[in-house]
Amino acid sequence: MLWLQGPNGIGKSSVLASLSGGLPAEKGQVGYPGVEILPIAMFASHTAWLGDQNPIKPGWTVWQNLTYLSRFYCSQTVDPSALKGQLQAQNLWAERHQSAVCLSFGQKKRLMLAAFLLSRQPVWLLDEPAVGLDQTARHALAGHMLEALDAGKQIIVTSHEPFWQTLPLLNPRCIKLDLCAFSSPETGIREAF
Amino acid sequence: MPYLYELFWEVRWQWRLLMAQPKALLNPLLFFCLITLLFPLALGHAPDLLRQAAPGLIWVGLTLSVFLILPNLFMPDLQDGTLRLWVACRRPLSVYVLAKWVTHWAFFVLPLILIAPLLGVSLYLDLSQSWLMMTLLGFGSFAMVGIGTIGVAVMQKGHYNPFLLAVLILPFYVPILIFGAGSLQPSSESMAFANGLLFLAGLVIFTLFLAPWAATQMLKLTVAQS
Repeated sequence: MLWLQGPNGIGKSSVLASLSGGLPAEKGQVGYPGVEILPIAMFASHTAWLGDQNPIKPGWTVWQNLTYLSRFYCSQTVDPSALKGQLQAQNLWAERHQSAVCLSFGQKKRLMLAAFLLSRQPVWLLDEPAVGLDQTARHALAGHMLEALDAGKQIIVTSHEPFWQTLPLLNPRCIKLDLCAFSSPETGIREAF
Repeated sequence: MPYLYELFWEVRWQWRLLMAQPKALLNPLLFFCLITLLFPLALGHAPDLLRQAAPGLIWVGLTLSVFLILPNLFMPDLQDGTLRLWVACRRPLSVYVLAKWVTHWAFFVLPLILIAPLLGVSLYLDLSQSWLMMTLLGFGSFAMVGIGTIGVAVMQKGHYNPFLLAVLILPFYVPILIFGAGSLQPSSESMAFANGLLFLAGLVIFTLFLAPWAATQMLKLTVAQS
């Protein structure tokens, strides 16, 4: 697990976006234990990306939104019982027939997490996953991250608050990476990566 | 076949997205009615003049209405981040473009074509020609929306510039207008209809190949810059 640190605007989200393939990178190679080093464009197929925006359609119900979003993280059609399990885990099952326009910011984030956790990719890219989440949800998210690490997945996370430190098991497995060390005014962050 | 299945799935969900806000249809529908009905009011009782001009007036009204619905194609998805998810999750964007194109045409433009003969009555249009007119309008407007997807994809995030869009794509609408309206003139001979139909159908096939590819490339650039 890699924790990207740095002040606002230094390029944490851009690093995640280029790893996910959303931002084309000129050059670069990525590797992690168990996989040979790949060019950055090929690496994108290993990643599942959770962005900082919540693309939730206000005209749809919570259930419809989740079904639509699940298509992004799972290439096959997802079994409704799996969707139900995710909604229950995120505490949104009671709101499934409500219009998504009624959801609060934290609930939207939880809905995105419900879709994201369906992914089977070996690398997770989490961009500020804890913004808007309450203590219980943060704790649950940290639990999911620990499970993923135990299953052999890699996580790269950007966050300004280390919410996972409440889990003692997770804390020692987190490597900090301060992006300030790479960024000099001449070269810029794109060059460093 | 997975591609076709994916396309079918996406078309169904885009249709649901449009059906969630059926009121959006009123905008182009009222605009189309208004612009066509203003001509008989402004020109007064001149049946011969109106009959001569009717196909052209309906085509101009439809072109402007298509223009009105173009911002609805990609802008909401660019702003709420759906398109970033499409790129980051490596789903084929051509599926997205095709689904948007087909559903927007069926939802916004098809009703306009269906009421075009009714509006034609006010223009003293020969009603025996209405099937021919609807066929031509259908092919022409389908190609128009397809060309429009390329134009809208070029627009930057959130900065929808109607003037720039008009400069970009109106030149490509001109041949559709000329062939579509020209083959409906009462004076033109019977071959004109077949020629116009062949031209428009060919254009639809050409656009079907070109637009998804071109719009995909433009959308990737736009998402990377946003």
